[in-house]
Amino acid sequence: MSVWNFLRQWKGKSKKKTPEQLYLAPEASQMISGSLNKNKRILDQAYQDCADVIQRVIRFGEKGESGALLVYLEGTANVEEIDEHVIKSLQKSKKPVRSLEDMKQALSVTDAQKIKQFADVFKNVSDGKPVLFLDGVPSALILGLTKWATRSVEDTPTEPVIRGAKEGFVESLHVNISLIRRRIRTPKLKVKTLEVGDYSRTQVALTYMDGICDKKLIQEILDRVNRVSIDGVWDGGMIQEQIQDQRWSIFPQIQTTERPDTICAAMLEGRAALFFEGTPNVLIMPTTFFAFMQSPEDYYSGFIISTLLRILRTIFILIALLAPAFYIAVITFHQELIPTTLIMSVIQFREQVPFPAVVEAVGMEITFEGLREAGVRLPRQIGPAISIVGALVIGQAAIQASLVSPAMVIVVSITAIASFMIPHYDLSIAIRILRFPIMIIASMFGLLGVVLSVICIVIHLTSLRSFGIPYFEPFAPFRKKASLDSVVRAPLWVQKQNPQGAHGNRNQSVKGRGQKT
Amino acid sequence: MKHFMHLIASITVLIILSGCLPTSVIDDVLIIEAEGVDYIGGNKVIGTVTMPNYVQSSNPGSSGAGLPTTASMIRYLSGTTYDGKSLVDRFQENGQRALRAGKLRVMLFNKGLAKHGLRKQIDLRNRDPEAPREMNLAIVDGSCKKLLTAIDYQTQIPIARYIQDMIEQNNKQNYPESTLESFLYAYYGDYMDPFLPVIRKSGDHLETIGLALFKSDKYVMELPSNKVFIFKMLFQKFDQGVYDFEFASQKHIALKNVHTKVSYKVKNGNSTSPDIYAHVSINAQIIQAYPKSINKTMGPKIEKKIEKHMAAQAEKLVHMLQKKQIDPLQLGQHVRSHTRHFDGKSWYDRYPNAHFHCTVDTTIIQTGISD
Repeated sequence: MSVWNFLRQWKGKSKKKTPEQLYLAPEASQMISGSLNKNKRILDQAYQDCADVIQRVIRFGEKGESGALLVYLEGTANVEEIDEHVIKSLQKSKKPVRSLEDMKQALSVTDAQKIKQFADVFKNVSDGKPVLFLDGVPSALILGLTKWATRSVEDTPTEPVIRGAKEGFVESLHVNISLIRRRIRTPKLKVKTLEVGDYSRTQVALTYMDGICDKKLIQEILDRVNRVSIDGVWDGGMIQEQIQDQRWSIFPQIQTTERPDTICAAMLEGRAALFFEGTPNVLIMPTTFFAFMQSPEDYYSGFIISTLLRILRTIFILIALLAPAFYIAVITFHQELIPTTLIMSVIQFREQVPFPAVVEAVGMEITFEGLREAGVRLPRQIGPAISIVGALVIGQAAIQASLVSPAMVIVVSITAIASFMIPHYDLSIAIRILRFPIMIIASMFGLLGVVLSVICIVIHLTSLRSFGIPYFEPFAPFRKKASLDSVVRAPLWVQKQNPQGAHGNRNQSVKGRGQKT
Repeated sequence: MKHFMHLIASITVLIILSGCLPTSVIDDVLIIEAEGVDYIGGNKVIGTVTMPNYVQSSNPGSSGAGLPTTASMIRYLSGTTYDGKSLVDRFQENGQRALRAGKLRVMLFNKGLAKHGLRKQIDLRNRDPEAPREMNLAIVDGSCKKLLTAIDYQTQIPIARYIQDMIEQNNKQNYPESTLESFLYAYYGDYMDPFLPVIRKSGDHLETIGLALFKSDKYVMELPSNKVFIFKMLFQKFDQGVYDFEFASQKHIALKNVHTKVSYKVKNGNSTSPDIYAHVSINAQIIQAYPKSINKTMGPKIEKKIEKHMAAQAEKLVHMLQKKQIDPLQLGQHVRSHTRHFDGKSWYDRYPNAHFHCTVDTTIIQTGISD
């Protein structure tokens, strides 16, 4: 543990400036003055070299005696609505505009707030809201006329399903929240907002179901997120890494998804979701190991089908983790485990291969991981090229060159298929990484090493916690009701005896963690 | 930080230490598939081990590279040693590569060794963690060495596999199972004796010629092939056996049993001459019959005849076993399980006097497609 402590201390030393000082211009402490010119000067100073900040002076009134200053960010403010509802309304206004109250009346804008400090001006302009100054009034109006560029709601390419909703989250927080509001239509769905990121000031929304979710869990999440000190947040992963219980574990203790239905189901189970502005990835916490082996589709197709699919996935996770290690162990130490007919052909093929099994296996697995990574980074136009090259590297050509044995190619291929069967990328990559040390250990200690590695992994998994919930639940500790929805998927009418679900309102869960740390 | 260093250090130690662990990479070992032991008297034996000898497959993928092909590996090793010596150890120094017994398929003993006693060989295999329990044992009529090293067989398949295939297919039909495991069970178990099939080389092929019966570890007699059906019928329930019945001179009927069941009852288990009642029910199919010997009216008659004949054969067989004082049918076990406070000590004296009664109930369920 001392390593972690050391790193924590080291991290803590880095900086202690208030966020406000960081992202606001030095002029922020000033109050808005009554003089439009003075305000304009301050704005000019603050927004020096900000070409996209538009400042427009509007003259209105019968003789043009009243003046107003409109400041907004080009591209984030809704220009059509500003034209229609601000400028036109002011110019058409019959009554004289002497105060902000008069102005509010004159404008046909719902969301208009009064502010007095330049700090608020800078914040809101950055948020995309236009700010209107009125000559002779020492305060300003914020207008809620924003329009951020956003992608339309589309299918999620990362978590595709055959059955079930095809909608996925987008980069806009508001759209994302609306997607879950559409699915859970009750005021009990709570949305708490906060800001993370010293410079980025990323909007974060914590959503949960009131009455189902544990209050202490919410408080714990808020505390942890507020403790995070970071310059900018571009994806939930940047926060996930910092708020999960065991930060040095390879296993993800917070689930990520792009699917609104997954989030809704999780919230009804008493979990909380953390949305971030600017990313479609939403965090779900707490989570368990088995949640990573489940696809939302499991609940949409019949329980027999989904149970079989889940068992299949479980088998393939074991294959993804152990197949190459098992092959190495058997080839190197335990030839009596191979059926004789097979052993003959394996020997014949191995005879030509100059490397020990472990070199062959690690080499092939690294090659495959390389191919996979290259495939992800590759521009779409040259995608087919990698598959041709890949087929050469892991295929007949490699066998003919006596670099690898055919059995090894089969093992690598089945491992590859197996690793893609894990529905969640975070777990899949953890399994893929763990495969390598197990392979090395298998080459040294045979099946004994494989068994010991599995024991170590299981010990680690059972010791992990996700926001106080044991990670290997419902098997360690065993919970009968929850285990009906783990490796198997019992019919929904059997499961729904307890509407609280797997993680509902169990007071001991988060309290347990609180006492420990 | 200190812990981190400890972790690194322990992993390094782990890796360095692992250099000591011996490997047996499959293409760097010679896998022994069959062992044969011939007794030459004076506690000396000729041991023979065979390794699979196969020719390079014509797979284009495995050609080239200039490495030796497996076809150039040695095929067998043979030499004298003392009875009970592990042949893997004996020939280790003669091996082209390290010898491993993990895939041993068959162990053969010649009749001489069987008569001398298999005690030491069985103990060796029972002790060996590498030897598979399901390997087949057999007695060779003739020389094991000749049988294992001959090159004039019709088949190119490694001899060990040939022998094992033959024994295993017979075990599914007329012969009772004869693996190391079943042998050990009968050898170490109380009130029972083991048995093994007898094979021999006949020209360019192998044949199974009967069942060798043992008294403890020593060969006593051989049951000829045509009596093995009766033996197996009394030994266990089985199917797929074929029995050839000569119901009159030169007139045969062949039965293929669809299912055979045997049940034992014992009376007066602790008396000097216990009564053992065996009831065998056979569901059979006629697969071959002397022309016109069987039809609907003749059926029951033939059934009766078969029943009578089989019962007589069974009683004759058991009588012979009693005379030889051996119990491969494990009748002692049946008596023990049917007798309260079974007197095991005097069983061996009482066994020859036991009365064996056998009733057979044959049902011909089919006589072929022609009638």
